[in-house]
Amino acid sequence: MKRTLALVLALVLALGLLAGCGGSEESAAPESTAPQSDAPEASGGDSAWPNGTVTVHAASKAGGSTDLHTRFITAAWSPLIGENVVVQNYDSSAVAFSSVAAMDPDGQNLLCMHTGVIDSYLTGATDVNPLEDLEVVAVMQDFGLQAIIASPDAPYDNFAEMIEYAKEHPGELSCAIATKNATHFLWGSIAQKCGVEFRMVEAANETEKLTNVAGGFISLGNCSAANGVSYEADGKVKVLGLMANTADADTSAYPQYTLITDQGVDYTSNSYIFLFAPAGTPEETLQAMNASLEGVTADEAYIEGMTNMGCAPGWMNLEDSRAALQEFYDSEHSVAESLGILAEGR
Amino acid sequence: MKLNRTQVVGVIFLLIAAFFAAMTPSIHVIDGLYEPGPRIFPYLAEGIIAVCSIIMIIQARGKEKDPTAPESKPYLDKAGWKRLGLASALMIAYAILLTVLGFLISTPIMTLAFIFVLSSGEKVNKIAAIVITAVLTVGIYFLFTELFSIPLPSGILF
Amino acid sequence: MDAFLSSFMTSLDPLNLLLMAVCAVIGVIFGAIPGLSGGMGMTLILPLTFGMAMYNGFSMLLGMYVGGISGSFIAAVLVGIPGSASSIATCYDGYPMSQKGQTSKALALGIICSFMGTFFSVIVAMLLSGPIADLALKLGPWELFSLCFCAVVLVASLSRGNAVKGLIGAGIGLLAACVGMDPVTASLRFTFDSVYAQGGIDMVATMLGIYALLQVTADFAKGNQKLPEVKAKDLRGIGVTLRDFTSNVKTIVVSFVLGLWIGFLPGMGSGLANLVAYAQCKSISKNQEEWGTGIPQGVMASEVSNNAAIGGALIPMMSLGIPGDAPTALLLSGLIIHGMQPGPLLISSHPEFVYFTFIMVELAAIFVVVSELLTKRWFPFLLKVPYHYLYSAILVMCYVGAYTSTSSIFNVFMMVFFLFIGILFQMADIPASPMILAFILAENLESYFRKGFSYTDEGILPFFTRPVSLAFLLLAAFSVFWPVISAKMQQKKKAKV
Repeated sequence: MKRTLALVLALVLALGLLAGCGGSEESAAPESTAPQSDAPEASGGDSAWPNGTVTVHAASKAGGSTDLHTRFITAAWSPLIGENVVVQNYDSSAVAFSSVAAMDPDGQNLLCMHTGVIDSYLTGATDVNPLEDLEVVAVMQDFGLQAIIASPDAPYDNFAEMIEYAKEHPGELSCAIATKNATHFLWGSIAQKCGVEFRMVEAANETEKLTNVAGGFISLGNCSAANGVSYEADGKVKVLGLMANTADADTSAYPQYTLITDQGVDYTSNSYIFLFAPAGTPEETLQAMNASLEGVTADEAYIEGMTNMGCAPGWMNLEDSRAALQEFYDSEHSVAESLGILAEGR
Repeated sequence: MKLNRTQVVGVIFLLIAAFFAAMTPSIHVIDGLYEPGPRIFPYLAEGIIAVCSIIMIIQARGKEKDPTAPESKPYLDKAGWKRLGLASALMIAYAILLTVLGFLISTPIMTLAFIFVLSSGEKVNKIAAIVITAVLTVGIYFLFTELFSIPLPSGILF
Repeated sequence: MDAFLSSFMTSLDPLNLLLMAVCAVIGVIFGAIPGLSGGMGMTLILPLTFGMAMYNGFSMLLGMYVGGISGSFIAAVLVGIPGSASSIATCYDGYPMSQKGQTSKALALGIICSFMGTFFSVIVAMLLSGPIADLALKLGPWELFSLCFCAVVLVASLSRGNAVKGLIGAGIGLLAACVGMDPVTASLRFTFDSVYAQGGIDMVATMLGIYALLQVTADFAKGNQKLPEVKAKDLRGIGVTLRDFTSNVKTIVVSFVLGLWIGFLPGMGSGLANLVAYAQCKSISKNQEEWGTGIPQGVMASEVSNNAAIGGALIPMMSLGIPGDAPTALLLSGLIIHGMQPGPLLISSHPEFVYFTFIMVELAAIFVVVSELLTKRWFPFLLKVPYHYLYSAILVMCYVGAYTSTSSIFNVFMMVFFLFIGILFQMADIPASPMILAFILAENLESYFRKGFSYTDEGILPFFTRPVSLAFLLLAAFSVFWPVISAKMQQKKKAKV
């Protein structure tokens, strides 16, 4: 018994040492045989990307809205690039950001997240800077129409009336936010632009917002237009208005509601879906990825999916995507500053 | 002062509670919260552990003299502690090897180690052990990386 | 009625049945192997269902869902390691039964109870979704906190040994759950500047460490390395009699109700149901001391409840578009992918789909129970594999499972860490269930408590002034103090005589 043990331990140590000196890295995806594309290739020539299965890291749990957006993109993208595209989920978006930022810049791993990544950075919820630690690959579809909802027995029937009420009762109305994240910015901006004071309380995901507003525990919240409308039809909430990324968004699917921009509130969101690669990814890889994504918007299943979710299909080329990211960053930065939630050094 | 086995555990948990209690004040609390904040539950947990550990230590006093109490018998005899140490070392080793060397190298090594150690001296057919190890390693590898597209540890050395 | 009939015909479509059956079998296998789970199986096939016709895709997902929860008891009974969190409590009596030579009976109980839980809970869901669902909306964070609090206190106070030890376990579970980001303001806690710790300690890693790794290590240290012996003649027949069920009606009913209710509550599912049902059924039984030694009631309490959680979870999913547990969240996204809008209008706008789901779950339950009963005699053959091969394979699966659940090696180390916590627990005779329960519930407890605080400006009052919340808190207090009071009353009685 003792001898066998000693042999086993010695074997373990010996193999460990041997492997440490000369072992090879075992990776899940087939080994990349292409040279690291540091040298710029001739334009028009095929770049080294893609090289085997591409993994898109969705910064949300399986089944969450960001996850669904990711899956619609990846399902349409896979046949376009001729490779398997796999989605990996994360319980915490901050872990998703950090993980992808630390990966090799070879185009095999991407991050899919909405504009909230900027908000998370500005407030210090994550240390990953979307401008420096990540490279934008493409701005894709927008996040779709959102509804502003309130409890069914609220003393106001639309957004403008709610603002009036809020002015007369400062601090009484509560709104559902996810601290340091996108909805925090949303309600903070609305409060500023309308000159009112809300009590901001935590209810981070769609489910919680719907149930707490329906139960009357929180006064106001935002959710997807589809959810808001179906809950209102069942008498569970009241929709005060719709919210979109632009003031001229198409609301024909919901003719009985108006955009809050039409109700006198100068607020539009910046909710788009982004695809990012780790910083240091070579330019032509980024170009190749961006160009290949254009075809996604022509995919039937993708279009149908977007329509069902009330989102407009979209894709921007690399230049426009970068400009958009910078624009959103600057605008969110000033909002964060005025709300006093900018983290140190941002 | 000789402590019986329950009391030793009580002291360890008390120390753990104290350790974390020392770190709790560095948890960042944002301003303007309407609620108690992120430190309250850690303090609650540390408090429960500390208070109950002290009660447990006191309650266990003298139990080692009570033949019906588990404290009267040692948890393990000397040979048992050695075996525990060996098994624990293997468990830790596998975790470290997975981190450093990745799945494909660590698993065959550790599976063989497990087989030989768990056999506790019973005769093990070496060929059978090697075959089973190979099948297990390769099987899991293909199942996860090819069929499921779920990555396995790839090690940090290369 | 039309919609019901047409859904029935759709579900009997041979392709749907075949897909469901195949996925149910895979689900059972996934559920049975520690380190894998039915939920993982569902995540794997979700992208496949994308491109498929809706009913085909859902047949697969539902088969996997039912199979996964129904399969986890197999490993619990045969080797004493839960296949997934839904059968932790099954180990407490299922494995001792097997060690006593009653393997066949334990397996049969698990199979039939799982079926009963699924089948009847779905019938309840079908009939009462609407009215019960509205209940979900009336429960604010105060009620939900008090409920979770009551569950933890119940399990801690009932633990074998004494309540103090149970509370230490609960405290450790709470503290471990604090590692990572806090659930309300996302502040980092106890992460020691490690990015990997930010996601927190994973439940699968904790469970594998304290149940699987601990069992192997402790058995090895103590020299207990015998697999339960299985005699051929025990394997014939079904293995249980009607008597086993009729004499335990109370256990079955209580377990069923608890499982249904817990599955219904948002974010809580079969992983929680089996622990709470086991503790509660034990506390109301006349033979408390026998629980944990290998009695049928223990297996029944655990297995009825974890499957009853299926029907429970379907209620809010169908009538509110809210996930009752993690697998239903995947089902919901499957819905959206196929263009259906989950929410209160789902039943009225797509009744055929809703009925199809209920019917298919029932069919899956029937398929699983029949096929498991037919193949049951071969399960124990697993125990003929020599100990050192079987457990080596199990250990490797545990490491793989701990890694793959979050793709992070951090959780592998956490699993080993909980092995050591488990050893300390064994030394002091501290039971593991309060710890794991507190660990599972901690996020809910903390987030409901702090949110409840912030939603009104009355601070802690609403927890006591809201009637339902107060009721649960009183129940918790009662379950702690009643044993003490009743013991004192017994003493007085004895003194008088």
